[in-house]
Amino acid sequence: MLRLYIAGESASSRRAERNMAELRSRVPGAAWDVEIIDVLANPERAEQAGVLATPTLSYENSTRPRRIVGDLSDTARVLAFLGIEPKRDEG
Amino acid sequence: MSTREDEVSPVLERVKTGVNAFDDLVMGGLPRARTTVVGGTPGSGKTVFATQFLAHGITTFGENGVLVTFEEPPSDIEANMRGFGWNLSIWRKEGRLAFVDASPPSNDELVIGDFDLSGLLARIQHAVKSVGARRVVLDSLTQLFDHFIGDPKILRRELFHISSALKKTGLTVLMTAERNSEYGEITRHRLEEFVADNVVILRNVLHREKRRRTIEVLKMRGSHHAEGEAPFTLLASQGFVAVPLSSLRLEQQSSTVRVTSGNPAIDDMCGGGFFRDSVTLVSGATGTGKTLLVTNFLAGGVAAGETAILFGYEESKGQLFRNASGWGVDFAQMEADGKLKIICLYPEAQSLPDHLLTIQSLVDEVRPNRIAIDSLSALERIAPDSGFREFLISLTSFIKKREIAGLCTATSKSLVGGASASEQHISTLTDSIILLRYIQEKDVMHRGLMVLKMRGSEHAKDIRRFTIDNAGMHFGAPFSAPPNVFAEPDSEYVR
Repeated sequence: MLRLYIAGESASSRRAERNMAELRSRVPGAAWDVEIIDVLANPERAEQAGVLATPTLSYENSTRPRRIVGDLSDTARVLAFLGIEPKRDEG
Repeated sequence: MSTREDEVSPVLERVKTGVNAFDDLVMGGLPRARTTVVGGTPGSGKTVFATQFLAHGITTFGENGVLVTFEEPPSDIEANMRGFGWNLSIWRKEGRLAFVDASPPSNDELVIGDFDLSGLLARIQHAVKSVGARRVVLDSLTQLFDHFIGDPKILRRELFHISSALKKTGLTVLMTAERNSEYGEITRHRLEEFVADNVVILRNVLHREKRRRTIEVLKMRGSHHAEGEAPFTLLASQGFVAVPLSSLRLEQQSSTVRVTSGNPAIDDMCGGGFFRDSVTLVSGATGTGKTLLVTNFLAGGVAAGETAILFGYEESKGQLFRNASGWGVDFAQMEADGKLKIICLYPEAQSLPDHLLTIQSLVDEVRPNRIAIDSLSALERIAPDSGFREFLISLTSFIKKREIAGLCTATSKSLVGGASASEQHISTLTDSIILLRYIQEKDVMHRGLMVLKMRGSEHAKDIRRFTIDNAGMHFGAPFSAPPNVFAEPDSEYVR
C-alpha cells in the first residue's frame, strides 16, 4: 500500500504526482495502488501519519515501513528505495 | 530575508510571557503577532521557557496554545513539565492545549528532489483551529534541521513561510534553537536571520566552578528593551524565574518614619534612628561587633512590637542563639512567640539567584518589619563579581519596596582600616553606612564606631569609642586624635 501526501496544487506536489503516474505506467511491476492525500484538505491525516514535509510517499510495509520525501524526480532511486528492481528484459 | 514592517500596526500589543521579570526586560511582554527565537546551548532552559510561555497563557491570560515538538514525543514533555507544576495533559484534555508531534519518525526516510513543509504548516493550523490558540511554540528548530540535514536552504525558505503564515493570523510565535557555544554564533544554522523579529538568548555559563544562568534580549524589532544579561533560575513548581535587575525602576516610597537600631546611642548618632524603609550597611573587621549590632537591631524591633527576620550565612542557629544570650537577648523565646524568624544557610547550598528568591519568598510569607542579613561577605564568596552586584541591587530594591528596615553586614579584609569589595559594591546602594573599626591609641587597641553616611538625615560625624561586655555595647568618649579609619595600616605610619 502506498500513500502520497501532497499539498494542494503546489509545484513540487504536482511534480510528485506526475512522476508517480509515470512510474506506474512505464515501469513493469510498479502498478501499485496509490492513495493520494491532500494535507491542506485533510490535515488530520497528516497528523495521524506524522507527516511534516510534502510531498511524502509512504510505503506502509509491516516489516519495514519507509518514506520518501520530495518530488520523486530520481525514479531509479525511488525504485531502489522501495525495493523494486525494474525488469530490463520485459516491455 | 526579513519580515515586512508595513503589515503591523504602529503600536505593538504585548503578550505577557508570565515570566514576570522577563516581561519587564521587554517592556511588558513579547510583541503580539511576531516571532521570537529563543537560542541556548543544550540544558539552558529553552523548553522550560517556551512551555512556561504557553502555560501562563493558558492559566493566567486565557490564551490557548499549541506546542509543536520536534525533539521529544508529547508524553515525555508532559512528564518532564509536571515537575514545574504544569499539568499539560489536563489542559490537552480540556481543549486548551494541542500538541503537534513532529518528533523524529521511527521508519526509514529518504529525500529525493524538492519538497516543502506544507504538511507541518497544515498540522499546526489544524491544531490552532482545534483549540482556538493564540500562542504557538516550536521546540526546537535545530532538530528539524538535523532531520532534513541535506536541505538547509529549503528549510530556511519553508520556516520563513511558516513564520509569516502564523503571524498573519495574529499568532505570537516562539521558536527555540540550539547554540553551539555560549558566546559565539547566535544559533546553529543562523535561523534567527530569516525567521526572527526578536531574539532572546539563554546562557548557562560555568564560572569559577558555579553555573550561572542568564537571559539576554538581543534584538527586539521596533521596540525598546533592556540590554545585557539578567540572571535567572529554574525552580521546581515555578519554572523559569528571572531575577529583576537593571530594569528595576527606583519607585520606592521614601519614608520619614524612624525605627530604632536597638541601641539608643546609635539612634542618637543617626539623628533619631534608621528610616523605616532604608537599608543600612554595617562594615567592620572580624570581631568588631557586627553580629552584636544585628542582635540589637532584631531585639530592638521585637521589643517595639515588630516582627523580624534574620538570614545568617556565617554561623549556625545554635551559635547565634548562644551569642545573643551572652548579650542578654533571648532569641529562642522571640522565635517561640512568632516575633522572630532565623534562617541559617550555607552560602554554598545554592546559587546567588536562588538565595535571593529564598529571601524574597520568606519575606513575603513572614511579612516582617525588619530584616537582617549576616553577612553579605559570605554570600560574595560564592558569586562571580557581576553576579554579586546584581544580587545586591535586587536585594536592596526588594527590601525598600516592601518598606521594611534592612541591616546588612560586611566583613572588611584587613583588621584596621580598608574597604571590602562588598562595601564598594553596596555603598551606593545602601542608605546608611556604619563603620566598625579597631583603632590603636598608643599601645591599646580600641573599638570605634562611626556613621559614615545617612541618606536624608543629619548624623554624628565623630568616631565613638565603644566596649562590648555581657550586657552589649557601651559607648564612651569620642577619640581625641583618631587615625584615618579608611587607610591601610601601612599608610598610617607614613603620615
